Amino acid sequence: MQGDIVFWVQTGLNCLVLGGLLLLIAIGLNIIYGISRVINIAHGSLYALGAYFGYTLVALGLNFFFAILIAPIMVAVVGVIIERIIIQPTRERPMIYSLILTYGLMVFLDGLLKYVWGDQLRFIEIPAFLSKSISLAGIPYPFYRFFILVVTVVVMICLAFLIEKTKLGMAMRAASSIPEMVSVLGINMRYIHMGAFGLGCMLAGIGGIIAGPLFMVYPMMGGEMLISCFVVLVIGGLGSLKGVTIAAFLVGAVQTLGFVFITDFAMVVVYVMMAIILIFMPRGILGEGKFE
Amino acid sequence: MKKGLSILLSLAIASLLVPRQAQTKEPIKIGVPMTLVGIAAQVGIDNRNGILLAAKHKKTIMGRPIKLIIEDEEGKPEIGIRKAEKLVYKDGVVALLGVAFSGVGLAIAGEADRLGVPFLTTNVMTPKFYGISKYVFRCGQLADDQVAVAHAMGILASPDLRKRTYYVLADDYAWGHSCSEAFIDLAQKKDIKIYNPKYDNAALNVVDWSPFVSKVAAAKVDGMYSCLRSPIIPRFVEQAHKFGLMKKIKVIAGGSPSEAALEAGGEAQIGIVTACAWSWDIDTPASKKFADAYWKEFKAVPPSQGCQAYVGAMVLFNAIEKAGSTDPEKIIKALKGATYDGPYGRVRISPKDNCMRTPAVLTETQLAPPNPYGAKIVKKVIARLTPEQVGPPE
Amino acid sequence: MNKMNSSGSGKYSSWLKKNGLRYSMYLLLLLILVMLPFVLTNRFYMRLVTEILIYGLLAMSLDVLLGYTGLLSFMHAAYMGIGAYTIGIFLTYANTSPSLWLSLALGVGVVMLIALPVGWLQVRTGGFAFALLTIAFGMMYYTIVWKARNITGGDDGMFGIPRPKIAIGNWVLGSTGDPIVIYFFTLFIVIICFLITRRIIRSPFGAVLESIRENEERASFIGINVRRFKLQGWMLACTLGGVSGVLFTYLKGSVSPTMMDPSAGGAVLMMTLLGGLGTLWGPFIGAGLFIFGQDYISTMTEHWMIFMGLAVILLVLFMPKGIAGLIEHIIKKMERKVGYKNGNNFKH
Repeated sequence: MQGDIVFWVQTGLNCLVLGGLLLLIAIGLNIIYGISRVINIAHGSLYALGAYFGYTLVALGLNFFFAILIAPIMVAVVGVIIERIIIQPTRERPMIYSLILTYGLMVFLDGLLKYVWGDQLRFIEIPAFLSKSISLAGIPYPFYRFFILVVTVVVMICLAFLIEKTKLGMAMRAASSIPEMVSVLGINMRYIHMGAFGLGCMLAGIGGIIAGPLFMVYPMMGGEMLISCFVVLVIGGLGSLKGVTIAAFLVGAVQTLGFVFITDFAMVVVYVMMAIILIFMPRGILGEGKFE
Repeated sequence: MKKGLSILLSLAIASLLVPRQAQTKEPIKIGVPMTLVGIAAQVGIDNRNGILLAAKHKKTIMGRPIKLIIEDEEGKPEIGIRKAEKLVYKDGVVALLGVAFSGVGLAIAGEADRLGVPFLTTNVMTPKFYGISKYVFRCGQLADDQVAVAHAMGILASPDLRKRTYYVLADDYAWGHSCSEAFIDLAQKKDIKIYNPKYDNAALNVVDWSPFVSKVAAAKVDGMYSCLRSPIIPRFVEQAHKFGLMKKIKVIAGGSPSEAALEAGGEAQIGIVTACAWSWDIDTPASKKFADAYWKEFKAVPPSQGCQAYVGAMVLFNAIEKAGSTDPEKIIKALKGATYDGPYGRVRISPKDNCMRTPAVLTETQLAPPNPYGAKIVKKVIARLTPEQVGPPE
Repeated sequence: MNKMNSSGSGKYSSWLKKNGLRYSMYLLLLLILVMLPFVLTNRFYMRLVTEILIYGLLAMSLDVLLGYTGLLSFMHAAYMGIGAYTIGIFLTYANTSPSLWLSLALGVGVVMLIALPVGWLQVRTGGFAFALLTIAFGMMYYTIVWKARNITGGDDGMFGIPRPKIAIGNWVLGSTGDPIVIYFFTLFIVIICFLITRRIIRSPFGAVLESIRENEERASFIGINVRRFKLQGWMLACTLGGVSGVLFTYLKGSVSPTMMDPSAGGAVLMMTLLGGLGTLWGPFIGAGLFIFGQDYISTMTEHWMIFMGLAVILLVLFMPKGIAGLIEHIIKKMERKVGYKNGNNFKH
């Protein structure tokens, strides 16, 4: 098995796909932290919400591609509401409170998901041409996974454009460095916070709806992805976008290869990695992050 | 004074309006600890529905109405014990019926002697249950060793399956191990080709199945024996389907996928071979009667696990009736050797080890013919096994 | 003022005035707890109350960690699990009929042995990083327990664990299998742990912990060895958690990995929050509420977790001191009404 080129190409691509998904979710978390200094433990639930919205939209007959556009916007709206009602009042308090708060939010949202959609497995129907398996030089690989990679790249390009080239992005970058100056300049920080949270949630929602057809939709999907995302953030360094990108693919690779070679302990390797970085390199691998 | 009088008066009137307890017979209470949340919720729901339907059909035991008290143990053994104690000590049930997980079943069974009531499980598959306690019985879902036998026989009987080599993938916990070990053991005796006798483990929290799909594909086998849990196997199959793997291999599922998951999964789920006690494809009047009744009551595709739980519940109800009393010792005596002719034939509780001997069917998931349940997928019966064939011998 | 020129009786009467209400409430509570088994004759209720006491102890230990030292742990139940499994394994495989006190010491000792190096590593960080580390280590423990099937029974867990007798020397008080006996034993241990912990928290040591919780940087500026104190707070919390684990095994006679999985960790966190952070006794109420919810509300609806999550959110937003804070508030009001000066100003 080891010497088989088909296996290695497939595995390599699998690493990329998982890394891409982790990146989408982790970047959202990172943006929220970078600008609002809030660690959103409920982020996984918002990812799941994206998947569930996608499931319902498609089940109601909407075209899958439209669903990919609309579901994340719905999640973003939910995010903004959450920010306004729950996060904002606690912004002045010590971070422990926001951790506990978003933890309660996660429990609440997960319970709500179960209530509305039930415990059973949901499948999102995708257009037939997407679920085919295509052959690259004789190596079979699901077309849908390529689609995920494409979406990830597109989203990252749009995000980069937003942050580097637009006024909003500039305000966000400034806000993540020196929030006080931004208010002095007359920009309403409240809107920036809401926007950042909404954007972060939207990214999680995108992750959810494109992961849905792949991993299927079930209430615990958020929690399962969340811990991997935290590992990404720790390794990449909270607040460092470049670090998160590298870390996402690193974790994706470790997790995938872990399941290939040492199944039982794959996640343990991931946890150990996180623990080592947290204890000895709290600024992340690139040393650019800022961890409490 | 006036206030006091008016209060007294209203109380008196209220007490007249309260309906007096009619002289109805006191119901027979049966406790049903079941997993209704979490990953195995569908299994729990199917079981619970089967039990509810049995109570509805049976109506009364010894002329007394049946009262089911259903408690959710969340799939956690320590909560299972707490709920069992609540049912026995607080609610005063005469018997416990149900559970979806072996772990919870074992925990309650460990307390059975102390609880002192009969406990009949409808979904526990672990071989540890044979003769575990005089109060504990098993009826319903096939046990791991029975499943292995049914699959092995099915493989040997089919020329197509016989020649395949099987990659064994198991959920990394007690049931997954016992399921795969039972099969591998038997397969090696019967000369069925196993690719990896040390079987591959899948952690319980796997989200992305692609590493496993790639591994199976790289092994270049043409068959797979899955000991993945019922809610999990459809996920694996879905991802394998995207890789085009399902066209190349035949999957035999030690953990039977639930009908609900098959329906949701659609075409990708076709071609899975699995053994169970019942499928709505069974074409006997008794089977059809059950399937129609289930559909009418729950408006869902009649599931195997629902029928198995139904049978288990009926066995218990009938045993209490046969015992003619709620005395645990008498019920236990009635349960030993109890038989029931149900939707899939005659089921018998062996007095030797308190576990059932049952007929079984080997099925393969196919596109369903037009049917009254709106089902797209059917577990088509490809072989029938008698209780003697299924075993275990007594 | 009165105290200054008074004789002995004046001092006592002013003490009585200041604390009389409080201490009479303690006495009442003790009386209720002792009389409980004779009022609640149903075995199920007795065991439920015992379970609430045990989880209350665990939640209290988390309060020491979170409410006093300011360190958040998402998997604190792991230390209860380690204590429970140690005893479970010991009792199952030991050939002799073990002494209760020996096994108690063993369970607690093993927990301390494991918590020390882990804690030493963890206290180098704080805040979110610390919380993540508790998850990492918690998941490692969980995986080990799961994988070591031959010893721990894996996910089936261990059941039918032998029940030791409670004895002091040769005088046998009863078996842990007896609901009333185990209740009193648990009550005894829990009260002792509570009193010891309260003493520790009210000492200068406790004050240091609280200063670390408020602002780590400043605490280090005034010369406090922050890491050492965090470690000590951690060890206290884990030790108490281990005690609760041992009591758990005595009560249930079985252990399983679900008692130390992420949802169990979350459950104990919610118990502590509900009860009230930084109160020590609040978590007992929180445990009672949570188990009540798990038991009774879950019978009515399987969606009771929605309420729990909502409760956490509302508590953090409006009532961070939890139910205990509310009760304290009411007691203070009562004390003022009855004319006592200021009541007792200490934070409990």
